[in-house]
Amino acid sequence: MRKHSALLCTSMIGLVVIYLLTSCAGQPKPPIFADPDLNNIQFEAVTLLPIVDRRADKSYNLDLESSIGKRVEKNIKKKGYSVIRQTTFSDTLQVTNEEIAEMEPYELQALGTENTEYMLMVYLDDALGKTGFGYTFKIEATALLINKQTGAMLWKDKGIGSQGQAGLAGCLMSGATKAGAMDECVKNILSSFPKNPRKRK
Amino acid sequence: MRFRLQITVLFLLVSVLLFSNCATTSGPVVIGLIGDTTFNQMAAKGEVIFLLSPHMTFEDAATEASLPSEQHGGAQVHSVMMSTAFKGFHEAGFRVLTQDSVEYNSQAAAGSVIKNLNEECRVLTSDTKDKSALLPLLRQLAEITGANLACIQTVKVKVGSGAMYDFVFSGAMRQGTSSSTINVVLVSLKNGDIVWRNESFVRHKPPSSEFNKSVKMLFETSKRRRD
Repeated sequence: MRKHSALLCTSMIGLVVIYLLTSCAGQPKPPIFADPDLNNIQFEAVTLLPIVDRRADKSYNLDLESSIGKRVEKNIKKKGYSVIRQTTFSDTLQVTNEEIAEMEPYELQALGTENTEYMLMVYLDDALGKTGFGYTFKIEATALLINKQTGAMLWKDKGIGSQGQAGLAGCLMSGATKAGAMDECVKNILSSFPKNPRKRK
Repeated sequence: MRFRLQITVLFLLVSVLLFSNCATTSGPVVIGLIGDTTFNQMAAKGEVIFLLSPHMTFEDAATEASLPSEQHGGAQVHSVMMSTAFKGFHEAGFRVLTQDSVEYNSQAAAGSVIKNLNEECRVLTSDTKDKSALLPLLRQLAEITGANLACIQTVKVKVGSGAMYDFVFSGAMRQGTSSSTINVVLVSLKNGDIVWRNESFVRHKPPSSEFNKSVKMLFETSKRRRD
């Protein structure tokens, strides 16, 4: 009898643990904005414009294209799209990084080339590496998907990556910490980006 | 003996490495000072500034969802910004007016003009947006108050998680994600031109001493140059 109740108790605990684990995991975060028809729009390629630096404090040096641009490209490809990377914001328009940072989404239509259809704008909002009793790195970025033809914003989301390690190990592993925070930030932003429906299966 | 020396040198090197950069980049920074010379010339003339209430935005750092100011020290932010601006301009040599200092008979009219101007603070603080539609309002404010400049202050607070250090288990550290961007602008009531602007940024949310320091710095930059 005692053996039977112990077994019942163990299985109850097991069930509760499984319930807790499954309910906590895997709830995808909703994007800040998504066009209701976004999942029905079919496109194969995304044009990635140069990363816009709209940080208030630009004291931390960062190569935006190799650190953020490459990670965004990799994650968009994983979603099933091909990525066209542009090296300039526009063929015809002379605009500075600061002017683009202040543009409203509907004004972004003016950017990109003539052949651009769907363009992804990525803004770096903040980045800071701090050495103290160890090393921490924090990065914040926002991304917008714009339909160049109509000027409509189709999707917008934001991500924050913050990692660090205390002690001497933290100082020695600053490169890995930085890379980890950037990975976390970009994955965080693009987790709500729709997968290419043709490549979903 | 030699081993002991090596250990001491190693210990010193590690200490220097750990503490050399400590907290050099997390303090408030001034990011956009424009019209410094004009500011000093106007202050010397003792021109009159009308101080509008600060326009405050509180949002979640991760989702950009707007948050109620009452729950995030909105009243304190208002008080700190008004008193610091008043003191900063006054010490520089300006005559500073607030809504309370307007004559009793004109208070209703001033209230309505101020309400309309507050709604347009985004246009008023922009260097590129057309302000011609707001000129009648600005001139009305000048007529009622006798001021020739209006001070518009905006603050955007991003509320995020705090810094964390898991001392016991993993040694993992995370930086806080809150920040405040404060913008102060002096607009000419004659033509709507921005004659002076300053902006500061701090990776802290109010109420905090770092936030207060950041507000103070907006006025100190011009003061320091004048001295």
